[in-house]
Amino acid sequence: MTDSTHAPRRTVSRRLTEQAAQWYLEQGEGLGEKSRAEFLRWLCASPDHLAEYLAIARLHGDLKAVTLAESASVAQLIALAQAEPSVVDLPLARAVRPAAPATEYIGAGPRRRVRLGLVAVLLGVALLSGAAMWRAAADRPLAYAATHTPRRVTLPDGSVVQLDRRSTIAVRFSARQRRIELLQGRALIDVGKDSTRPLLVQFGPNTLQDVGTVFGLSLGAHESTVTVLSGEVRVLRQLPSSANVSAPASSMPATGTLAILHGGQQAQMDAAGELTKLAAADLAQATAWLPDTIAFDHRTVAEVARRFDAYTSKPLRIEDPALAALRISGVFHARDSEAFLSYLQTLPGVHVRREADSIRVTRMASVGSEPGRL
Amino acid sequence: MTLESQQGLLTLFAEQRASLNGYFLRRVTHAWDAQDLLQELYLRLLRSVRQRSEDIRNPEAYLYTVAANLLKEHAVMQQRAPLGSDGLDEVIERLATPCDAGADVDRQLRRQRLSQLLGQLSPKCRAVLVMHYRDELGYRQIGEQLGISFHMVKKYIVKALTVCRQGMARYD
Repeated sequence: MTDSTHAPRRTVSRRLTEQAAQWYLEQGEGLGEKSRAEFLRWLCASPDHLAEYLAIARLHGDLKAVTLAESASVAQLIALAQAEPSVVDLPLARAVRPAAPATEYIGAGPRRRVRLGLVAVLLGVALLSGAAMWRAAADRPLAYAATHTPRRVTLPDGSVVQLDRRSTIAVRFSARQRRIELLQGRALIDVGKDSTRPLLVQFGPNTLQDVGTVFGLSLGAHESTVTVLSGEVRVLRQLPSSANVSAPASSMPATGTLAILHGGQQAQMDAAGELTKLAAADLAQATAWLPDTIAFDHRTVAEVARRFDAYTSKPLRIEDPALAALRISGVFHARDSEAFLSYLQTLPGVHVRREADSIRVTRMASVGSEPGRL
Repeated sequence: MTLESQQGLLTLFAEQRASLNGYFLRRVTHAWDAQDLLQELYLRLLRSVRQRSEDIRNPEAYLYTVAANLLKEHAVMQQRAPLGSDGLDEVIERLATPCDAGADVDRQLRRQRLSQLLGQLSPKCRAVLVMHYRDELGYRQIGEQLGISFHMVKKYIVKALTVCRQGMARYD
């Protein structure tokens, strides 16, 4: 079933599909207690299993519809089937059953033993416990990962995180605190403002504390790097081991500050979490992995402007609320905020002011009375 | 979060993203959302199964419940209208038979391809599959008609599902 024209995409393993299909059938007949536990173990063994199970569920729905269009009667189907040269095991041929695919999934798949009398469909119970789970899950950590391509996620507090390929973060927000942990790879975090809940970012042995900034993190085996694009970030020594992101938020770090970084600065730490380098950052290099274009459809000017902040040490500040709320669509080169600014300046009354640490975009109060400026 | 589940998440995207993404994509608008939901669903399932695997009487219904809750929660977070009107049953129904959820642009195409794949199955495999899905015959009945055992019927269905799924995976 391989298709060489689709070489880049990895095909789903046949064995996994067989397992999912088998479990799907077993599930339809009702599982005994032992099989239930086995099925749950299989399902939770890997996200692949879950994905494949759901794919089979979808296929199941499609097959119902597709087979309805099949015009051959049962009698015709049987006739065709009987005419098929019997290469696979019929009951009589069982003794000489070929070893090939039939035995492949024994052991890995569901038990053959079927208890038809034991159809335990307690949907109501499942529903109730599911609802309870939902509430309990509200303050549990969320995880985000990117594999083949960088991705962009928006967290519940409005923070925007760009994840590089093969990067993972865990996120835990409580009423008093926001915590993000970089588990592997690289991330660029544009922190949502929330003065009541400080943000702590853990990466390797270090922690960052920050309020309303944009910074990049890179976690390597031997060293990690923090690059601040705009705002201010405090680099701390490690938190007590009990206070990682997956543990309940308990105390603020009582450890010393290693460095305070400002826009355009970069710090490097070794595997032990000690500061090894503090220097001006090469922003182009630090953001080289980010996408080259910013594409948006019917997004507010404020939202689009913010996306440019991931690339520059001079964040764009849209100061006119009406302009900030204006919805626009388009594609811009991410590393060229000038094109975006030029676009904004074509709007009536819009004015751009370049300051040391930011670019302010304002609009004249009396827009209507100034026709034909430019 | 354990090391295993991290690894698992990464494998999910390395190998299996397309199908699950497609599964969720018809319910949420953005591709980003779908990715998040996939990861979340797995994590939640993992957690809840660890905590209370004994209480789960119907794992499949349970899976759909966790998924339904996640989708509802997501709808609230996104301030979108929740799925369907009310009642988890409806949501589960829609999750359990995903192809029936709403007007689906690619559904037609998908079924066309599936129908082609069906035509490529061996006559016996196809007979079992059609009798099972279209005529809703039980394994025993099908077995009697074709002169094969109960287990062989299941084996044929698994084989047919696998062939179709593998064939469809190229298009997902």
